[in-house]
Order: sequence, then C-alpha cells, then structure tokens
Amino acid sequence: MRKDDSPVFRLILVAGLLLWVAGGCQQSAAVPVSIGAFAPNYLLLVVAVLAPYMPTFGSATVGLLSGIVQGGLAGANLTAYGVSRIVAGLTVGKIHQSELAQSPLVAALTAAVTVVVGQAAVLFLAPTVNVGAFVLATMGTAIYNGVLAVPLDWAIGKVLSNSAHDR
Amino acid sequence: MRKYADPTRNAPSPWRWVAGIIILVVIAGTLGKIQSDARVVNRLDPVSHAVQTVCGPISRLAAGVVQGLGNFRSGFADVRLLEADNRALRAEVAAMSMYTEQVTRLNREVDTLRQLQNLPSIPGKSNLVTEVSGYFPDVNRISLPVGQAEGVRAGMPVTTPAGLFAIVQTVDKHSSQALLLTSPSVKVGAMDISRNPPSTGFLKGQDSQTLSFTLFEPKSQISLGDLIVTSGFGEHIPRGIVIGSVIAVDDNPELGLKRAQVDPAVEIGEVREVSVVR
Repeated sequence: MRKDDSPVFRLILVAGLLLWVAGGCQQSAAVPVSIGAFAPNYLLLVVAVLAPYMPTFGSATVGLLSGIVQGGLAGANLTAYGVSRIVAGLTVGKIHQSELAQSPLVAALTAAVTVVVGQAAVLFLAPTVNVGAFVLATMGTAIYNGVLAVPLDWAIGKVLSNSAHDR
Repeated sequence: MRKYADPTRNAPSPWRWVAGIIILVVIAGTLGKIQSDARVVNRLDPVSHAVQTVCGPISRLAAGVVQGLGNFRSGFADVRLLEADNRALRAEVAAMSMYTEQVTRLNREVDTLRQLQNLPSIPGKSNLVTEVSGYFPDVNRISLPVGQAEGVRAGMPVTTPAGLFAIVQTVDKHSSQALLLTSPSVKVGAMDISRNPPSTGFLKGQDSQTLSFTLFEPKSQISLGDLIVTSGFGEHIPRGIVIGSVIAVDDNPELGLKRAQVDPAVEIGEVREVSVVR
C-alpha cells in the first residue's frame, strides 16, 4: 500500500475537504435553503458525521476547526465558536465510544445532539439577548441537520469504509 | 456491523488527553484575542481573512447553484407574476424619471441658495451597489465582496431600496463585514419624521425582528405607524434613510424615558443586492 493511501491520511483529506465545502456552503447556501427560521449548520454536520471514524480527541480537533471556520466566516467570536465546537466534538466523540451500532437513526440523532450541545455552549460563552429565538432556531437546525446527516453519513461511510477495510 | 474505528484503539493516557484538550482551548482563546485586537482598529484578523479567502470560491459556487435553482423554479412557477411585475416596474421607472428631474432641479436651487448665503456645499454621497456574499443571521452579520479598495470604510451604512439594512463594521482590502440593524451592538441616530418638528433619539437592535428607539426628549410625541429615518448626526450615515415604522410605544415618565419599538422596513431574509453609501 502506498503511504498516501493510509486510512489516517484519507480521513484527514476527507475532513479537510468537508470542512472547506461546508464553510463555503455555510456562507452562502445556509439561509437560502432555510425553511422559515430553520437553517442548516453544515459545519456542525461535518463534526457529527466524521465522529464515528476518529477518536474523541480527533472529534474535538475537527470541532475546533469547524468553530474557527464558522467564526472566521461570520466575523463572530472565535473563542466562543472554537470552544463550543470543541465541546460538541467531545460530546459526539463520547457518544460513539459507547459501542453504538451505526445506523441512519443514530446518525440523525447524533447530528441533532451535536447542534444542541454546540449551540448551548455558544449561548453560555457568548450570551445573546433573545434567548427564545435562539433556542427555537437551534431546535430547527438540529432537525435540519438530523435529516441531512442520513445521506451524508451513508456517503462518508462509502468513502471511509474502504479505508477501514484496508486496516 | 460497526463501520467506524474502535476509538479505544491506541487511546492516549488521560493526562495526555486532558493536556490535548487544554491546548485546543488555548488555541481558540488565542485566536479570539487576535480577533478582538484587530476589531479595535476595524480590521479583519488574519485567521478570519484566511478562512474567508479559502472558502470564497466554494461560497461563490454554492451561491451560484442556489441562485440558479431558485431562478429555474421561479421561471416556471411565477412567470405570469413576473410579467405583471415587469409591466408595473416599467411604469414606475417612467414616473421616477420625472421625479428625478424634479429632485435635480431642487438640488440645484439649494446649491445656488447656499452659494448666495456663502455656505459651503453639502458633501455628496455615492452608492456602491453590490451583492451580499454571506449571511449569518444568528450573529446578525453579513459579508460583502467590497472593501477598502472600493472606498468602503467602517461605519458606512448598507441600504436596500426599502431602507437601512446594516452598518459596516470591519473592512479588508476587497471584502467587509457589516452588522445588521437588528444587532444589539448597532446604535444609529434616528428621528420620527411623522412629527413636526421631528422627535430625535437613537435606535438599536432589540431582537431579530424589532428595533428599540429611545427618544432624547421624554416629552416628545410619537405614535403607532410613525415613520423613523436616520437623523444624519453621525459622520457616515446621511439624514433621511428609512429605518422602519413604530409598532409600540413604551412611555415611562417616572424614569424620564420614552421608547418605541420599530419594525424594520427591510425584510432581512429577502435581501440580495445592497448599496454601501460612501
């Protein structure tokens, strides 16, 4: 096997590519596809769908990177977004440590939990004036991401399961 | 079958794990500090600049795809409505051209009168038309693909045909970010032009749908439906840009305070093209 075909290399490549695409989509294709006040959060979606393929610390690192991308694009507080996404990454990483059988339902639920935890941490670190609207928007995003996670988890599984078999 | 890696495989010791997490948190804190320092001077920090530069091509591609799909759908669904709109707009353009001639004539008269009184001429403002390149409603921000090179400066107003939309906060060479009018961090001088003389005060974001207008003089009159516009007391924001209309009045004479809730004229989710008033 060539060195650059190693599972870790492929995982880093996929993670980088997904964060890049998710960042671009978050900037210009989140609000236009929103349903009412419910908009997807592509960057938290990436954290959720990659978590099954990496250790908890890896999930936290992907979380930090997604927070930096989101905060950097929005001009929002980088500390609040970075730390909140680390917390989200750790949470979803811990969930996958508990020997859960991977299924579409698990993918949807973990994506929703990632949003709830990540946004709750943002609310704690950078409190907003209108908590009610924020909580409602978070719930909508959790449902939206839960739905999007199912096909994305399947696609990521197709790409990364080969690398798992390589091991 | 589990398709994911066993996370306990090659698990680091708890201390190494905790140290790793602390390092991640310290990185986030350091980046936040760099960002805050850059914002003090209305600049974009290097990390945000790099992220925006790297994600820019994908963002433009995604915006094009979303817009194309939207145009395709509306082309089929709204063709009759679009034709009717087109006819109405042509009629409005014809009416507006007469109005523009009148405004030009009146401006000329004002200039002549100011010259006769030996008053300096009013500095002109120009509109820089651009598109919103990024929407972040949860943090009340938008990104614009114009910056210092195009003459954009922090504090300049971003408007739509309906009225004031946002205020430029950080400026880079070819991009900038603006805070939406609904942000609690935005404070704009405003006046109620439905009153004579106009009641003045300042306006700031209250929540994602409403603005709070605090009057300087608690005895000023204000009523539901009154039109609120910019007062022009600031350096960058000219007088008379529509902000919204009054939907509630909170009179508290004991505290010497009079406030009104204002419904913004601009529907935030529907804005695509904007103008930066330079």
